[in-house]
Amino acid sequence: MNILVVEDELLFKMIYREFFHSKQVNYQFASSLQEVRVLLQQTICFDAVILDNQLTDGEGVTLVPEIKRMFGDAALLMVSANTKPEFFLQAYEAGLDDYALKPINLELLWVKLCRAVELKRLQKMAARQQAELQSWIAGEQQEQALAMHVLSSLTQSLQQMPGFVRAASKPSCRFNGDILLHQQAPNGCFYLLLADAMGHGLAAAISLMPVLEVFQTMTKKGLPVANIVFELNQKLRRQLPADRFVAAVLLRIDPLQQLLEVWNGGLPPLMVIQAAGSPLTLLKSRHMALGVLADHQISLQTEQICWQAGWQMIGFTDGVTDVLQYNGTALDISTIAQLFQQQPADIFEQIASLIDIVQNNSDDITFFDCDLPCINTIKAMPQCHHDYPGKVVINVHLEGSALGKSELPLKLVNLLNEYGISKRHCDALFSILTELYLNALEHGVLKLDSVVKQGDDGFSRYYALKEQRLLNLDANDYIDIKLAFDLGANKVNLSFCDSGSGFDYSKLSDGFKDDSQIHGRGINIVGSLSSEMVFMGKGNEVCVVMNG
Amino acid sequence: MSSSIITVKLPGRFDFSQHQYFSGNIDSWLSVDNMSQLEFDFSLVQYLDSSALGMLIMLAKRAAERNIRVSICAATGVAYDILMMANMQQLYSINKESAA
Repeated sequence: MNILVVEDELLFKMIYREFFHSKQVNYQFASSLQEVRVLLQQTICFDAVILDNQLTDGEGVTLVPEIKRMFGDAALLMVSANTKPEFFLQAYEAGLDDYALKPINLELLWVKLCRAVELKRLQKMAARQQAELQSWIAGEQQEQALAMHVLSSLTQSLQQMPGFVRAASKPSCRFNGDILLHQQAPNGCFYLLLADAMGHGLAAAISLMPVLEVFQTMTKKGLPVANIVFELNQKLRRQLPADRFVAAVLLRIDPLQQLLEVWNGGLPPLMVIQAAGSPLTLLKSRHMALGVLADHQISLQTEQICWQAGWQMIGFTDGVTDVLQYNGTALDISTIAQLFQQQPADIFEQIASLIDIVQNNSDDITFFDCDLPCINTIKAMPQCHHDYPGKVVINVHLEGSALGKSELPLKLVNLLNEYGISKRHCDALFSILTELYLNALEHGVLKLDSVVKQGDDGFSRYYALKEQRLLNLDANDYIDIKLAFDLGANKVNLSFCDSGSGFDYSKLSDGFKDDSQIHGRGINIVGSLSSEMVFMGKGNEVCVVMNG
Repeated sequence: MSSSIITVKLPGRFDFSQHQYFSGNIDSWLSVDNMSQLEFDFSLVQYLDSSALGMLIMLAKRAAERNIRVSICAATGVAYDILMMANMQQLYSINKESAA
């Protein structure tokens, strides 16, 4: 330690000298204001300054501001005989750290000096740490902004929800460890993935990245839920550390078959309700979260439920039950179930407003609700307005051996796809074309009777017969297909005419509702998928209309 | 060669603050000689969060590598519900009764 003692009396200097020698510290004397001012110009570092107030050329107290300015890190103590409090108060204000009254008790002075020096040291350390912290924070924020930018560009397109899904989410910090993804497959099915990565913050958000690509590529192909779950689990297990996982719900909504398929691994139950007051269906977590179990251990069993228009579904991550409060108590699963059952239409607003007002949530929170869509409620794609939207008319005449070779239904539907045929027409049209073509070919042209299909090996006899007759076709055997697609009205007119002898279609009117016959099913499907279906001529002609 | 069950009693709040304690002890717990089963006593546990589940999962994997069975006993209330929702019974035998 280096101490500067400002003292002019020889006797006191001797006492200080002996005292500091015993304490084994370095010391230096200045005997006047003038000498101190000279020292202040130099760059010596003192840890402490002891300032006697009574000096030959003035009061030591006048130096306090200057010493503070030049030796800011030094502890400053004054020695004086003055007992007036105002004197010391002013000195404190000028920057004094402590004082000692004459006659001096050296041990007391020493204690005060050491404490003042220590305090100065701590203050200096705190200031340095503060500066380091500020600089670190600034760097962190820059990095986080970049990471945020990258993550959101990856997820943006997948996070857009269809019109019948509403979602509310609040991360615990800048990065969200929860995510809700959606994609519609070419077959019309909607896939939703709600995921909650273990933990929260950037580490959790990063855990979700392997999920994005798998979800996007597999749902684009309309692959089964089980397959997607398997791939997600495998990828996450490989890419995440042993103690990390992603709890998730993967669901597939089929608006054509009005089917909901669900795999729930580790999230709170999805809730489905028909109408206010009716019983709730809970789709609970029956599997471990993704990224834990090995390929041979994971269970891919899904749950399926059928629904009707007007049914509603809600789903959420555990942040909702861990963080949110309702009427002063924690919002638990049974309370949510009650609220949903009482007023299914209101629950989204209720929970969304709770999410909105919560501050400093310790976990990420996500909640969504879904009005299960049936074909008629899905909004049509917005179309550009042309004065005359246009028509596509396709005439196909298949003759002789060309009849057996066709993948015609698929090709025709793909062709109409390019002209903007609506998704629901697309799927239905494919089924209708397949059924009518088969009917025209097998029953019309090839004159195969469904009766053959009965009996033990009826089907194999039937198809053997079909193969045989296909080899004997000539120019007299044909099928004419006319397909007209009105782009403006989104209406499809379809007619088939085959070279067969037809059948007595007057008997069909009752048969439409009866789908117990194995071989009569085709007609029923066509009837249910179209707006109108009319047999004409000998029964070898049929017209089908699908309205927009 | 006798086989033994080692029981570890876990604290009331099993969350990220326990991370150091838990991960620091995994090796010593699993290294006990002749141990066939490691059991966690949940009688004091009132709450566990996802990081606790992560720790349990990691331990189960390490135990499986050494052919040690793992189990949980005396889990109740919220802690039990959380274990069930996570389907931890696929990795741990879960008994509601107290430790043997």
